[in-house]
Amino acid sequence: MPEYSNPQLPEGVNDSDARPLRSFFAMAAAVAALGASAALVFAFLGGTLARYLPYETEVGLIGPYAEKYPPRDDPVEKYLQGLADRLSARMRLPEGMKIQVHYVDEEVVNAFATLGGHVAMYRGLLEKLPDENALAMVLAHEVGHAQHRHPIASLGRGIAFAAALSLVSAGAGSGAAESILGQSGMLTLLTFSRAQEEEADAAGLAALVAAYGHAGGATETFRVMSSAAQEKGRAEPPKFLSTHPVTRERIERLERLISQGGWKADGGRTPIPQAVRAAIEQSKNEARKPAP
Amino acid sequence: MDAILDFLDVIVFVGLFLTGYFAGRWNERRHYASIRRREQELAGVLVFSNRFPPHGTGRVDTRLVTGSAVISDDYFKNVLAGLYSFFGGRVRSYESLIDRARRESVLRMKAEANAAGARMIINVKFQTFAIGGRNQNKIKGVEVLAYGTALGAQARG
Repeated sequence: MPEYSNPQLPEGVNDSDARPLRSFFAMAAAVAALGASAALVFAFLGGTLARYLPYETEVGLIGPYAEKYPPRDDPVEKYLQGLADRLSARMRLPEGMKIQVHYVDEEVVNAFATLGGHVAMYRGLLEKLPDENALAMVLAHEVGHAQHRHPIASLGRGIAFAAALSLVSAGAGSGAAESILGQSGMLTLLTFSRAQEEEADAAGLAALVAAYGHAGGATETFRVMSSAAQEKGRAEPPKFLSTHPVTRERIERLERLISQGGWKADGGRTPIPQAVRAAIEQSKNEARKPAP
Repeated sequence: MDAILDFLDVIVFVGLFLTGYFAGRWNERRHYASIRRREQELAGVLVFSNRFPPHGTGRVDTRLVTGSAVISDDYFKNVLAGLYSFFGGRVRSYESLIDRARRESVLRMKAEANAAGARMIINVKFQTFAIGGRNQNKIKGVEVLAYGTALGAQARG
């Protein structure tokens, strides 16, 4: 019988992953970069294209939620609605758009515009505003968002962003990553970009001047917000402020717009009607009362 | 406390990931050391894929010898394999699993032959089985079964 032998096979041919952590970080970074760029492209497309959705589609989207908040027989809400109607008559709203104001009886210093021309005004902010002119600026600003269809653009951006992220995280095969990214996706869903805020400021300012003949109250609104932030301490700025351009820059920008437009910077102020003030106080006291 | 709950997913992920990395590496290193040592020890038992004994072999005792090994992946290898399959190319994190399973099964088969006094195994074949299947969420394992015909001592008479 001839001599046989089995050769010693070379090591490492089938065990080539000498530095797995380095491979992991390299690939994870590549996935993150891909995901981020895909998300940005998606978000841009989503935000840009969403504006071209017909307005009826937008109303249809918010419909089920809006039904829960029909116009109420409330003196404050009626007053706000009347004011918003007067302002929006002086703004070029898209065809068929109807602004509906909701008065929210909560401490939050905030106001926001959402899909379908719905604008919410919180008591916390309303109480802090010195007169109707300042209030009109806030409302006109929010109507400005609706006029330029920012809410649907923001929604489109957020949804496209989340979709892009879920694509990538599914590719990496990790449920955990998806849920982290999902949370940050939700955050962007609710914010307007700085450019959108500036657009709404300009639209609001023009409507304010058209309604009152002067720009009085335009900048005060933001001073009120800023001081409210300082009262609470820097750690907790009001929500309204945190998504908005830095107050000082914003005031300067408005002042520049006023001088460029050749508008009167200030004039006779209109107070908020006494009956409305009283109704606000009353609803506040009712809210404070302990539930029976 | 709330922060812990909010990021429970992340904490669980990082925990599994690190455990997989450290425990998996440690296990693999130990296993490879053991494989190399036993391969030296059992180098005298020869393995062939030929179906028939070499020429000149007389009548010998024959017996079936088998060796099977199941090697599992770990969470770290699993995540890494997901990334490899995203970009394509060699799924490097799974290569060592197959390598270890194959070598371990051959060693067990050789050990069985060695215990029976055989110095040669012919007609050696492999069967593999993927445990965990294609399910994304299951930890995967691979089984390799090696089997062959051990040639014993020359039969007398």
